[in-house]
Amino acid sequence: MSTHTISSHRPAVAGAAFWWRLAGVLALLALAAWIYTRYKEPIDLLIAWTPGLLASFVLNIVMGLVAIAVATVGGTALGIAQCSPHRRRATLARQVTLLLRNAPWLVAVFYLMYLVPYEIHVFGKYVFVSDWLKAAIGIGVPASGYMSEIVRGGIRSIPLQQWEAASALGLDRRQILRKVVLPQALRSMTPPWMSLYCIVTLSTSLANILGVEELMTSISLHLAGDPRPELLLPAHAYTFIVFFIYIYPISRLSRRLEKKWSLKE
Amino acid sequence: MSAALFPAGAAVREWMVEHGLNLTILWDPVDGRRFMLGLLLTLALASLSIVLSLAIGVAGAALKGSRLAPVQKAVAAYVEVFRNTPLLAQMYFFFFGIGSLLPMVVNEQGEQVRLLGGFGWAVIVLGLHSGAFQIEALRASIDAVPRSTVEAAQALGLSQLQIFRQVVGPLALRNSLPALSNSIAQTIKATSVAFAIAVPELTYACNRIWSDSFNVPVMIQILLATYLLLIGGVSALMRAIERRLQMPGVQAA
Repeated sequence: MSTHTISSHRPAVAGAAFWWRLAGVLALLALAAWIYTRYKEPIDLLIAWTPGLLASFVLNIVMGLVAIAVATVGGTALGIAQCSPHRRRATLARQVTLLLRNAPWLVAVFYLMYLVPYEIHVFGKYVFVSDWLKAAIGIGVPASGYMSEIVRGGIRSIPLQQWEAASALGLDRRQILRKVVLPQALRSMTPPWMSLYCIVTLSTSLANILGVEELMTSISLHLAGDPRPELLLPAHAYTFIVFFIYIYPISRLSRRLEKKWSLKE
Repeated sequence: MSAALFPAGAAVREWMVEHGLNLTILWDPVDGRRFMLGLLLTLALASLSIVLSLAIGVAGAALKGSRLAPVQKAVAAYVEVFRNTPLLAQMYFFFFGIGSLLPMVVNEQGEQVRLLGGFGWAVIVLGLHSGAFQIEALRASIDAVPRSTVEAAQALGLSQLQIFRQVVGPLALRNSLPALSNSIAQTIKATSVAFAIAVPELTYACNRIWSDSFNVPVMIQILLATYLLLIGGVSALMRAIERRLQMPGVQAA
């Protein structure tokens, strides 16, 4: 990014930036080649394991989607309540938000895991609640505290005149929120919402601690079946890389949108 | 310590157990010690890794302002890697991956152990993790000092170092307090992930207690409440510092 701006202002530096970049790419290639020769066998093994490992990463993605759904629904309700004209309701919503934001996610996952039974009685039927679903909800609940702040910030970013103009048109509070304020706030809420999705998906790895068979558990199981010390470093680097490849583009897009949309206002 | 903490006698204890409040940490010396040790370890983990993350944050923010493109790139790469991967994966990577490459040493009990144990790695990983966030926050608070203020200081004939120490630094420090308070809270929360590499901090201690004493429902509430009190207390303290340092007429950025 920065090299672009430098080169557009000062063409003389462009040559230097090009050489730096070339040197960087060459250094990375050399590093990759060195790593491959050093860890050839483990890397080949990891590549052979990849289909199974990626299948377990799908569970991480599904858990992330469930968690962000929970956070979005719960957080939007809380965020709107935080902006409520009823002082007591607003205070209560603010306190709940603070509580959710301050709870460690791992403890929240434990909470759901141990205190929600594995079968729930709904409409005369026993519904089985699997561990991964509990873990996903356990991540989504504290995340809704963050969502609540995103929604509150979004609502606050809309000028008061919008409220006044809408109520002059005869809309009630609910209509104003739904038809005037929230649609406009969507733009400022989307980038942080995407970052929250990234954080939530990264946190699904916590389910590993509770034995849900997601990517990291799957890696550990593979490692347990093939206990060689030289496998440890490459295998744990592998989870790093898989998560990074999935998350980095999303978080980059989120930042780009944030920059783009904040410039327009 | 358990007897000192809970002198009220067997009757109250019996009543509590009967009503599902099997708070073994109050009367069982083993559980009590585990809990207190866990609390201490959580505090130690949090404070050490915050110090480390601040050092990383200051160094990184300074390097990010460097004119050399590769230095900037390296800092940016570090930030991206640590922000876009799970903390748990970082813990595993450092503890099991890099930790397995460290030489063995003999500890006080005469056992063969790795040079750096779970606690050491947890401090390093938590420090690196929140350091990545600290760099951005510190950089933003330096950039939030108005350009005109720096120009005014230059016009007064202050040197570069004087400007940083006497004008930009103090203002940036005040700007950074809300973000710092937030990152301290984040770090305290994150220490619970050290559970995964068997550091006997608060979460791990409580997990051991509820597995041994079969009091999951009570202990999990205590665990959550302890974290909430801890973070609430630190946040209140930071707000008080913010108010104390607030300069009249200057709004926090």
